Order: sequence, then C-alpha cells, then structure tokens
Amino acid sequence: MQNWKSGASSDTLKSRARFLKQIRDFFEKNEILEVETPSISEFPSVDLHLESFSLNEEPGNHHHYLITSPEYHMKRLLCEGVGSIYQICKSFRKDDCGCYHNAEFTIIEWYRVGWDHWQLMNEIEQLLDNLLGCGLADRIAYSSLFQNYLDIDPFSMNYEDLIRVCQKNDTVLPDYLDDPDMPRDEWLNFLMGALIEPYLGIDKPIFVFDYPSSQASLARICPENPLVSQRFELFYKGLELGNGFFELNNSQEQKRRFDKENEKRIQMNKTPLPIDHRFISALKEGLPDCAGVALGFDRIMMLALGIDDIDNMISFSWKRC
Amino acid sequence: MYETKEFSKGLRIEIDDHPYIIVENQFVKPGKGQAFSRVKMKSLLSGNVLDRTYKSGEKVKKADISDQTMQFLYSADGVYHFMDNDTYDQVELQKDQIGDNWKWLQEEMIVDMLIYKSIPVSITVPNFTVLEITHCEPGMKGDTATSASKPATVSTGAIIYVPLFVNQNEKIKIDTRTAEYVERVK
Repeated sequence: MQNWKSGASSDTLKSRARFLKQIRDFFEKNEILEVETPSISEFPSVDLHLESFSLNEEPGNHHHYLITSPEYHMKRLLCEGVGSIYQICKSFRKDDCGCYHNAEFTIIEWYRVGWDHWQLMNEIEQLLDNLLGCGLADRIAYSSLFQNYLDIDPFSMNYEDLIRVCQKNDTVLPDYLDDPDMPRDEWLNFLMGALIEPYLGIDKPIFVFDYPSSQASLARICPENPLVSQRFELFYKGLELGNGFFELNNSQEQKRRFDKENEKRIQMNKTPLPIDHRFISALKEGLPDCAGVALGFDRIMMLALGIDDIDNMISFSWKRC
Repeated sequence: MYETKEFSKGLRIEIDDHPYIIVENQFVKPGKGQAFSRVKMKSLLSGNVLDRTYKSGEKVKKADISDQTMQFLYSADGVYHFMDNDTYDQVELQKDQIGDNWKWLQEEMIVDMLIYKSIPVSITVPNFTVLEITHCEPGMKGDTATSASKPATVSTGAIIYVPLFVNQNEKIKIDTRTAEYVERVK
C-alpha cells in the first residue's frame, strides 16, 4: 500500500502555500489583525447538526472538545475591543466525510467591526476574485432561490408541496423526511442540498441572503421582516464556500437559541450539550456591531486547481492520517 | 448492517429484499442542516439503477452476496453449465444472466460467480482472454501504420474489430471489459 504518501501532489502543496500567503497579504492590506484562538475548548457547538469530537478524559472530569469553528473564541476577542480580526485555522467536524468534506479542514474566518453583512459580502467578493479571478458575485434572496428553482415559497411550503417538488424533479423523498409533522427546515435543507446547491453559481459566485429566521444560527433577525435573518451563504460552481452573519449581539437571545437547540437535540435523541457560559458572558459585556464569515479554504483551493476530491487537496486526509 | 459513512463505490447492499451495488455515493451537508448521502445503486439482478437518499447515520442491510470461482463447462439450449472445482458441484445460469459474457466464454474458462442467498446470479470473466479468429477478410501485409479496422468473427461467434494486418486462424488477445482487440498472440 502506498497510503503513507500525501494525497496532494507537491505542486498542490506549493499552490496551497502561495494562496495562504495571498490571503494573509489581502487581510494585511485591509488592516485586519491575524489572531490565534484554541483548537480545544471546554464547550462544544450545540448546533443540532454539528458533531464535535469529544476528547476522552478521566471519568468525572470535564470534557473538552475540538472546535467546529473558531467563532465563540473570536467573538470573545471582539467583545474585548480588539477591532476587526481574522484567522486561518483548523476546525473539526465529526462524521463529515466525502469528496468535499474532511473531518479536519481549514477555515478562513474573519470579523469586520462596524460593518453589516452587505459590506462584508463586498469584501468576500474581492478576496474571492483575488484568488480565483472569478469577477463579481450574484446576490439572491433565499425565497427567490426556491421560487426560481423549485417554484415553491420556502416560508409557507407544506408536505404536499414537498411531494410535488420531489415528483417534478424525479427525486425519491428520503424516508427520514417522509413525515407531515417534520419541521419545515429539514425539508428545506434537503431541497437545498439535493436540488438547488449542485446548480448554484455555475458561471460566477453567488450569495444567498435572507435565510429563514428559523435557520438564523448566530445571525440577527431582520428588523424590517422578522421572517428572515441577516445570514448569508456563498456558493460557487455548485459548492458551498462560506457562511456569514450580521452577528447577533443580544446575549439573552443567544442563550435562548442555544437552549432551543438543546431542546431539539433531546427531541432527536441526541445528548444535550453544555452551553458556553464564557461566550454568553462576553456577549453580556457587549459585542460591537459586526459582520463575520467563515470560508472553506480547502474548497476554494479545489476550485482554483480543478481538483474534485478533497483527498487530493490535503496532505493527509482522514483516510491517510 | 452498513452505516452511511461506510458507503463507498462497489459496496453491496440490500434494499427491499433485493441486492444492489453502490455505483456512486455523495455526502451532502447543506449549511446548518442535516447531512445526508445521495446514493446511486445498480441492481445485481436486473441491472436497473436506483437513486436513494439516506440520513447520515442511517443503516442499510448488507447484501448476502458471495463470490465463487467456477469453471465453465458447456452451454446447451441457452443454459450455461459451470462447476465448482473444489466440490465438483455443478450450477446452471440462463442466457440472460450471462449477458454479454457469452462472447468470451470458452470451455474450462475460470470465472467469478456472484451468489446471492446461495442462488447463482451472474458471472464476471477475466479482464483479458485469447480467442482464435475463425473468419475475416484477408490481411494486408505491412499495414501496421493505419488505424483502420475490420470485423473479425472469433471462435465463440462474437465479432471483434481488428487491425487490417490480422489474419484468419490467428489468435488475438481481447480486453473483455471494452470488447477491444489488444494484440496478436503467437
């Protein structure tokens, strides 16, 4: 077996290094401070669909977890008033494995103090053009996306609509979603991943904004329309490249969302997880108005080099590590 | 049972009492949503292709499939007879189960037979085989440069496209996966 060897060629490794430098130059020019925060945290993400690696320790002791993103730690720095910051770091998501997923992967995450998500999208667009030469990006609202691609309204769709859309698109509805009482977001996520995402941003990158409030994650709710949140995602050539927010800075609302996520975990027979009280305390102290985004570095590189398996993008992927 | 994270191309699974082989598997994780696997699979019995989606962590049955080495004996009236060289047990397959493999089957040929729940289902022949040409137009001596080809009938009755310089009664090596001529064999 040759699997002691790197999955990435030496040319690929050189390109990675060149791109990392290019990204750091971009942030330096834009006067954003590079920071480092821990890979190991006492608190995991409570996000229903993210699984953190838990580090085995002596029974009775606290658990520690590998971070799924540097978000909580970076926001704690923002609360101390460091100003706009970025980080290029490893993040870890258990069970994520496929052509575009490796359980350990590289995130580019940054926060712009005093900006909203619209301003941040402009900067992301510049960075992406800088790296991929892809020009300006399109922008489309989540609801228009579902109207255009599937002819449904994501805010009112019901079980019958779901059946109709699947039939029309020659797609078998998976058993786990075949339930009229299923929360609508589960259906929307499936439709997005299976029937929309592969066709998104084929010619140029596209930002999808105004995600439903029920999928706000750590974004603010839009003051003019409480149905939508100030969250966006970025897609290019059928790949999701990033996720960003106009960051929620209300500590009580944040705590409520974490609690709600834990309730959903219990409903789905998953273990509820400890809530990061340090993060909540920091928010109480005050997170400045800011927008933040996480981009998948490995995927951007895959598009830059025309590589279609992440195993060939990373020196030692999950199956070689 | 196989969990979704074990899914990979070539894995044999059972859905609704029917064996399938995975031909394509894609892990999808929409933004903050539930991850799932989109799987394209081919029936090991009919060859029909099926698309299914599984939530990450879901389990599917392992297909009760085994591979057995068999020797081809003979065919008669559309029935193909094989023998297990260890036990001398004989099994039969129908013409439609043999598929295109009839083109390469010769007496004593060793094949891989797929057994599903102890019933023989299909065979795979070796990637390369040598067959004699029983009929073709005369060869043109020295014509090894052009890429032109001509049809030639081999001893099993199959028709293979061969280069112009190849002659009747010569033996040729064939890639059974593509049905293509490889080289002449002395």
